[in-house]
Amino acid sequence: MERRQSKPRGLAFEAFYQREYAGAVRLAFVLTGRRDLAEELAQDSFLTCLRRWEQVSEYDDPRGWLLRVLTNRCISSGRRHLTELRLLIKLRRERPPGPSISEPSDRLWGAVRELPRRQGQVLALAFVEDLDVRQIAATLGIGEESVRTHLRRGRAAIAARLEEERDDG
Amino acid sequence: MVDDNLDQLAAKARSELRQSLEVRPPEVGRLAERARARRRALVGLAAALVTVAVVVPLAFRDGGEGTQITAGPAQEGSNANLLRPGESRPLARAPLAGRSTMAAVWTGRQMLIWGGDGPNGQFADGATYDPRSDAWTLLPASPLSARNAPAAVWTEDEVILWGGSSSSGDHRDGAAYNPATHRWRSIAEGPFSSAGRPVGLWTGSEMIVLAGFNSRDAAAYDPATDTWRTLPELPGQLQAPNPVAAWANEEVFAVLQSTGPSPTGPPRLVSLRPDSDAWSSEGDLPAGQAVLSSNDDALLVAAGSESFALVGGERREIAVAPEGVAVGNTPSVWTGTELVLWEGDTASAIDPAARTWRSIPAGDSSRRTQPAVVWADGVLLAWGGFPDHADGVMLRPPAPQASNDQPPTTPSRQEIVVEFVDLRGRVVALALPISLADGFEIVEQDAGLAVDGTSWRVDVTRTIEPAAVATEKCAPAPSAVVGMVGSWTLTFTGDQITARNCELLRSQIASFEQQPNGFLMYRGRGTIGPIDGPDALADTAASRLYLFHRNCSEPSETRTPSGLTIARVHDPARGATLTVLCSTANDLELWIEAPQWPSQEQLDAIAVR
Repeated sequence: MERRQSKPRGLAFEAFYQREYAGAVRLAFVLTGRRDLAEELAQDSFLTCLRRWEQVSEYDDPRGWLLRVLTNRCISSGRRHLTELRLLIKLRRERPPGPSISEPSDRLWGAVRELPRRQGQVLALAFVEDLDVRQIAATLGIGEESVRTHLRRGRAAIAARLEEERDDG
Repeated sequence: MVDDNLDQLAAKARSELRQSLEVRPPEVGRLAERARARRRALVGLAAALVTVAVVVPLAFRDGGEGTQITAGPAQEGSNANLLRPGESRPLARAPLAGRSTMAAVWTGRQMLIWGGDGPNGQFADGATYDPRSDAWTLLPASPLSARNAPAAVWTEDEVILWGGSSSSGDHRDGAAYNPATHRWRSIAEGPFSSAGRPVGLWTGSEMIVLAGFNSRDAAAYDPATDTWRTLPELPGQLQAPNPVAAWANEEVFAVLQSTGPSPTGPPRLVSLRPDSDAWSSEGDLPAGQAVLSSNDDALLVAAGSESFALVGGERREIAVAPEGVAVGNTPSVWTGTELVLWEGDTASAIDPAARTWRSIPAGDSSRRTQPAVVWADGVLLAWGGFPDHADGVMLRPPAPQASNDQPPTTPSRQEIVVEFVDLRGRVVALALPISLADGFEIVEQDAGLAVDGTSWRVDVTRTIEPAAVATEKCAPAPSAVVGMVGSWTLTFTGDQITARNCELLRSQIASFEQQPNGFLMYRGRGTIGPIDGPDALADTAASRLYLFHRNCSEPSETRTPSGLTIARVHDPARGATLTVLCSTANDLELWIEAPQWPSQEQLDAIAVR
């Protein structure tokens, strides 16, 4: 399925932001397991995008660029960033409620989070964003063969994990 | 079948997520505002980490008119407490021969050094240095042959080395060392050989490699798949002899040699998104050697005697070099707040927030070329360098200067926040939003401690009568007063938080021992006791005393799973609150108010002698 949207001419950041925000938070939630953290990371990523909007809006796929920034922030390159955000979030009193999701879904997202970093990014983009191999490769800036490898290994690991939990439970 | 089930489950989970996770984006205008608020807090936290006190081991010393309590740096997590600001000390003798152009990486706990060049050729050995124990450990033999200047990155799991050169030529092989297992593994050969000091950058998932100043080749190595992919060729050759590049804002930045008619012409800054098919020019740089560093969304550039930040394609000048200072063949490290340039006998620091570039004590007197220099969570570690130094130095840069652009902080009716953090995973924060109204009203006092992502908060709202605050007995605060808490005057000077309390007695100071960081801290064999009565104190083995308080009421104590204890005792009769956070596991402690002090007998009874 071709989900990538062609770049509208003169795409306004505001429209892009409104359109993509919820999806970005969902993706970050799956990768971090925390709604508040997901919102912070999504907002940080959009802010980075805004600062470079003149350039990013000219890309073929601004959304892909955003997702790459976001997934990188959610995973390894943002470890320090994550620590900082976690601290700041914890220092606040309010915490938004997490989404109400069923146990099987919760287990699936938990299994995605336990994958090695790159595999987790690939599987999250596949499962949350429903991107195909080519789209994931373009989004993460890696080869399609690497994506297939990550998908194969990640899916096997998730299946094994879910199977194990079913046996335990 | 399994695949089908997984796809079905994913489709259902995706749909469920869309329905259940409803989020509304904040107004675009608030994005920057929110980020600024986060950054303000984090800058304070980071600055505190580097220069101040992370965990607040209280120090007690004679303060002249009063007794002074100074917050000191962390016991672990941050290495800032190993030295006072501006101090330096030599490293323990290394088990390695003197050398230069070696790979050097900070792994979060240790500085790893491998390879390099010496008077008799190249080296194939390496070692790690732990600044907390001041000890070296030899690395096991690697699968790589002797060489100098391999590209090196830390992936948070492994140190990856690639390329380098030796008398036998340039190399295209590499290896990865895992400090957790103390093992090496060979990695796939690169698509080309390095050619004159390769540069390595870690993007979070790939190691970007620029082959060196004799080549235009670039590639990316993915350790997860042990595969390489080539990147577009550089539009010129990297700056020599010290090629520099940085990963900032999801792009590779590199400095190219002058392409003009004069070899001394201006170097050029170029950038590449790893998925794009061409490098972009970011314009010329001032003539001379350049260094680059990433600071959040900005690229920091120092070239010749100028420095600027590149934010969203826009150049923002920072400062010019002080008299006699310029970027040379200079190692540089980003400390979290400053870009420090270090050459052994000279050092300078560029602070993009304060927009300053100042000379700082280098901690050494010998000029070193191509030494190993890393930023080690609070201190700069340097070792080796031409001509074949086999010694090293640990340096804590002086506290950053206040920004010239910022008005001085003065007591006013405003909320002030002072926070501390250790950015190395374990985080400690103290926040004191204080409003100074008529008299001294503590609107809110928060003590937050977060360790490994877990935090606690304590909230107090109460009013202190001005008459109860014995400030008039104290010496004038040394600098900006940020608030009053009970009988304590807290001042934050940018590099330390200081508390003065007139009520402490000098005779009670003797039991506190001098710490390596210059602070005084009480050590004992005790822990927070059952805070349920007078003179509560319980000795336990292998722990440290942090709190004792008499005549307490409304006790509270929470013991956390990670071994941390937070205890608060409020004494309404004295209108005083004592708050202690401590950990027998992590040596954390934080005292905020202690209007009632223990007797000398109590101190003597529990002191470690």
